[in-house]
Amino acid sequence: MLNYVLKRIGISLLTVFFITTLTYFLMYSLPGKPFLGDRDLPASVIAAVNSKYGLDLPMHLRYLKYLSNVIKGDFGTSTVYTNRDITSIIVQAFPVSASLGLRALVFGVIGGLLFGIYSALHHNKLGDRLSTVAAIIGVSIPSFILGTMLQYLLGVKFSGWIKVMFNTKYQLFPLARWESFRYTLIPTFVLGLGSLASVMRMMRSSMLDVVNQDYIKTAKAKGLSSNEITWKHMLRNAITPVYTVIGGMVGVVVTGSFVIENIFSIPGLGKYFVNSVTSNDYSMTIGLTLFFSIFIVFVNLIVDLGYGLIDPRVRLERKAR
Amino acid sequence: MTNAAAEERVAIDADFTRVPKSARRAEHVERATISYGRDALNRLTCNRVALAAFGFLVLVALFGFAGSYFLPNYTKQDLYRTFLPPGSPGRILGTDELGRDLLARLIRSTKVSLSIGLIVSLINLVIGLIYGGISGYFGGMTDILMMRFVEIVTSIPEMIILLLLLTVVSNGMPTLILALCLTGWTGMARLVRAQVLQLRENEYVLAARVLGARRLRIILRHMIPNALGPIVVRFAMSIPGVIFAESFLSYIGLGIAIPDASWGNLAQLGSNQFPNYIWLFFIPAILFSLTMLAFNLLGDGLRDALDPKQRR
Repeated sequence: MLNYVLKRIGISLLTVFFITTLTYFLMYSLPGKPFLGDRDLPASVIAAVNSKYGLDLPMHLRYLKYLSNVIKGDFGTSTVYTNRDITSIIVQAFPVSASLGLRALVFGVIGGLLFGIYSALHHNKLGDRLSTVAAIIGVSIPSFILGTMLQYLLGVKFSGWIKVMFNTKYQLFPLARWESFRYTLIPTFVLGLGSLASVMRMMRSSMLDVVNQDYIKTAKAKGLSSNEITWKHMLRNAITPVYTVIGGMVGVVVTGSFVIENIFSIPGLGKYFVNSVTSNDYSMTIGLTLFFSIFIVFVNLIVDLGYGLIDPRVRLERKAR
Repeated sequence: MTNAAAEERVAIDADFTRVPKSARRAEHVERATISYGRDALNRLTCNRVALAAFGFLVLVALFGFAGSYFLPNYTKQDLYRTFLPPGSPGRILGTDELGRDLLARLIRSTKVSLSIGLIVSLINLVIGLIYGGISGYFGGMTDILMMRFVEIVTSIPEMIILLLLLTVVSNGMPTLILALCLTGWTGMARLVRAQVLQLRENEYVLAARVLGARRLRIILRHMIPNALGPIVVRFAMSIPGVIFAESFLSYIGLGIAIPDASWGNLAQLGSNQFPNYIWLFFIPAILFSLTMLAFNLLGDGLRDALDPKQRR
């Protein structure tokens, strides 16, 4: 087990190193030079500023400096808005993104598991058919399209209808921003729906595999109650393949939130990211991408280690080697 | 042949009778031959939902590829006729904020998005087959090293590779295809490797060998049909995945740039005109979602049809 943990950590560090190096050479290969703006600066001034920022150093020393900055958590500054350093933006905006992502994940995973279990237990009945159809539709609609649709249908039409109907100014589903629970409903639903649908499909087929296993027959023959069989024997065995899917979902939710935050004007990192792309703020885009990459690598690491913990078969296999 | 051996042979012939050819055929461990492809096709044609999905996809492809011959002019602006509603004379689906014909742009975007989906998925299939095949076939240290590399590539978001490429080459379809390939081939490579590894060790392969089947026969009759199913299904499922990624990147402004059209940037432009000119958003959005749905339904149908375990 220790061997496995160390190996996973090693791979993650290697990946982070690889990504950081990639971003460094990306920055390095950008056209143009710093301090070559519209003003004509004397050569001595340029030399002085260059040495102040360490730009006169040879490339490998600058690379080492960049690495140490990233390790210290300094992702550089924005090229379009001077004095806006990326780390402080991350500190300020990431909690919002994380809150949205977590809500969506919790909604998607719990909803997906419940629907999947329900579907498998009522195999080929009406409820199963309906939720399978709903799931495949859920997988098929891109989140940015669903988001805009719901913003229009619920936020504009339905809330407007309620205003007229009850003669109030109360906006049931707000169109934008991130203030109270009401504001989080549509974005969470939109971001989580894709995960819900794929967890549901996965859980359903995994449960259907387990239902036909011999140990379920044994459990039935022993006279266990059907509740006990479902929750203790089926669920525990069916959930492990689903767990890997949930792990991979974190990255999807993170990138999905870029667009959702943009649509609903949520002040999270995704909004900064999309804005930086549209305003050609290279260093911001790259800094945020680097941050996201490192974040995803570490989430995947935690998921993998967790996988070793929850599935005894993985542990035994490692020991046997 | 020595004398003793010949005598022994005679003795055996006296003790045992040779099995006639007709009885030998009864030993054949096979049922009447239906070719794998025909069997899968039979099952697919019984699945009406998958057939309808396939028909819809053919129509969408026709719309995109044949339509571009009838309405090739998707960038022509007409500032006197902006925001025409659908049903206007000569502009069946109306015009956008620069007076460009929405139908022409829809045709163009269909062509672009479908092409990217198909091209990227095909390239990924080829790379995956080669890389996964080598990794699984050789095994050992080669396998370990190749799979570590896959793990590292998997954890790099395609965004970062796309940005890297955009600084070197210009924004557009080739760049997008390259970026999506650089990150997308890993899934197929993993699948192919797993299939090869599993097949090498499988009991029915051993059984076929014990029964004296030749290597070529084992590969053609046992290994390929069993490996093909998951690979074809993954290929079919990867097309909507690629189109998703493409449209997402185009939506946030990293993919197909504006005078050109793809489902992503069409939906993005449309959503800017909310809520006054909703058709600019809803028309491409609905076509896009329906196509994704058709791909997923067809993929599900293929999975059911190609799984050898489902053979009756």
